[in-house]
Amino acid sequence: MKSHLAQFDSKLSALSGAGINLKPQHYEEALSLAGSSSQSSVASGLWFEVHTENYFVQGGPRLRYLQAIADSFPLSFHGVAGSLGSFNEKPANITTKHLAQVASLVKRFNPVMVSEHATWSTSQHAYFSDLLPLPRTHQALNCLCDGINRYQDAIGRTILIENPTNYLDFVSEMDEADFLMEAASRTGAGLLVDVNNLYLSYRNTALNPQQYLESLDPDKVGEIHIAGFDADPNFPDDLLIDSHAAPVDEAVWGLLETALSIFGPKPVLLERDDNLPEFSELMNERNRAYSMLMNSPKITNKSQQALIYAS
Amino acid sequence: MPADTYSHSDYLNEFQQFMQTGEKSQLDSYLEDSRPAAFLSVYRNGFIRASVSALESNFPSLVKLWGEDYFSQVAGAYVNVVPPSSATLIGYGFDACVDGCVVGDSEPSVLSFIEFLQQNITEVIDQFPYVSDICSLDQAWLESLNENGESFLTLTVVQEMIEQGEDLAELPLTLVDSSRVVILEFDIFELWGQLRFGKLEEDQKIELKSHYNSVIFWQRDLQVQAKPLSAVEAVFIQSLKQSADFDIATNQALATDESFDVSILFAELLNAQLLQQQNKI
Repeated sequence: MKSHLAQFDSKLSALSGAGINLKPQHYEEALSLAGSSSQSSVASGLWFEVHTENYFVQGGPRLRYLQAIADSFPLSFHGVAGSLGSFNEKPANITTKHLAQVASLVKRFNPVMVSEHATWSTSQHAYFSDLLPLPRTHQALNCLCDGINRYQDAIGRTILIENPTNYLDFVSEMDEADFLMEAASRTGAGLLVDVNNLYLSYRNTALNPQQYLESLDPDKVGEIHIAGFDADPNFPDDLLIDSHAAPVDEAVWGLLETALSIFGPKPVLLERDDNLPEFSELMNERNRAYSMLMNSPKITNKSQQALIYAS
Repeated sequence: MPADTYSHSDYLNEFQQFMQTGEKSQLDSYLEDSRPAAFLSVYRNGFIRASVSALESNFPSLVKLWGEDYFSQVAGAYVNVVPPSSATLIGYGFDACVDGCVVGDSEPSVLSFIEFLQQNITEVIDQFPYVSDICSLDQAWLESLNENGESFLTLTVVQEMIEQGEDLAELPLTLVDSSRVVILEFDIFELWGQLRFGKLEEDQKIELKSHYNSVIFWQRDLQVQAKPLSAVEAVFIQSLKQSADFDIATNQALATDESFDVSILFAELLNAQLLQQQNKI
């Protein structure tokens, strides 16, 4: 199935600056910055991202707060249950209902960006609430592309797909950067590069992060995620977990700097889902990311250089 | 596994089996040898942790009653038997019939958390016979919070209708979408409030009488309201919710209590923002 939607191009993206994934505990503090985003350095370039599935409700305070946030800041939807890599010819009821709910929210809030994961999580009858791995095979790639196309068709726009955290090596017919680039090329989707996931894949499975980042087309990269991690309690020396429960590690900050030097400025999002600190602490981390973003080189890739030469 | 023998649907089925049972061996052929297969448990642990956490959020009063450790233990057992059947964890474990079942619903029925507890830990349920009531109250509170609470009938609109000569008795009025009526077997509403909102003393002894009663929850100004109902109020409100017909509801209430005065209750429901006009199909 070929997508009829235009290919994602980061040069045309309306999202910029640095954001935070927003939790209900921080709604009020986030809104207190509203109105200052264009003038104050405190909230300059600030935007928010939410997990789409947390807003599968009919009404109440969640949707009211989300509307207030959307009225004041750029808003991005990040899905965690799209299960793009397990798409079947006959979609399960779970998938059909899920897509309808995502489409309804996208229509209502018109987020600046919509993203999902290059993973899977649902079978015909069950939702396994985690981001499950895909082997990098041609069959899995076809399935992932079908899932992306169906998701994009449902919401009427292209999405970004995020690289997974690897804890083990599965059978593979191609490396991960090529796998994701091929999926993006076939479906028109863009890429969300989570440098924390990339760092953990490096530590857990010896994937080469520099080579990985250099293999991606910067024009396809629409967003970067940073987050914290923890050692697995059962295998503390050998396995790092994508917990989103700790501050960003210095090694991940270093990888963000590398990514920005290769891609040029890209919107950066700080993710924190557990052990939530004060909002001000998250803003400090977010401001560090914003500062790095502002100091990143403007243009590094060949296609953008070619455009400049042509003009 | 050689690439030409790889089947993605087989992989998904076998991974699904692992997620449900914890049995890893069938996934060996999909793994390179570089890392221990034991690391696969990261995925299953993450799934169970997230699902148990959702149950804790959905049944906070039961967590308070039983403590986090025991609740997590039984919640984990539920996750293994009844994994989430929707791609969101909002409402995971809820009973589809807490506020009236729709006969002929095409969705397959899923064992709710309370049904699982009643079937699998009977000795504990015997000790805490009011657990079903607690689960129903937690569910009703959260469902009410997440419903549309903005489509209520105001006094101004009613006055305009009267001025235009509308017969209120003829209007298809019903309760607002956010309303949930819970029928309880025990006199537990006060205790539930203490559990839910953290006001229960640690050494407080729980003694409850078996007594059928009802509570209504609804959303007002983005906050959940709750009110115990008298027997006749419960009859009227349940009937109104099902029939959207004031006459039918009034007659049923009068059959229960011939001194019932619908005008007083109508004013109370209107003031509480509990009434809405039923959409015509």
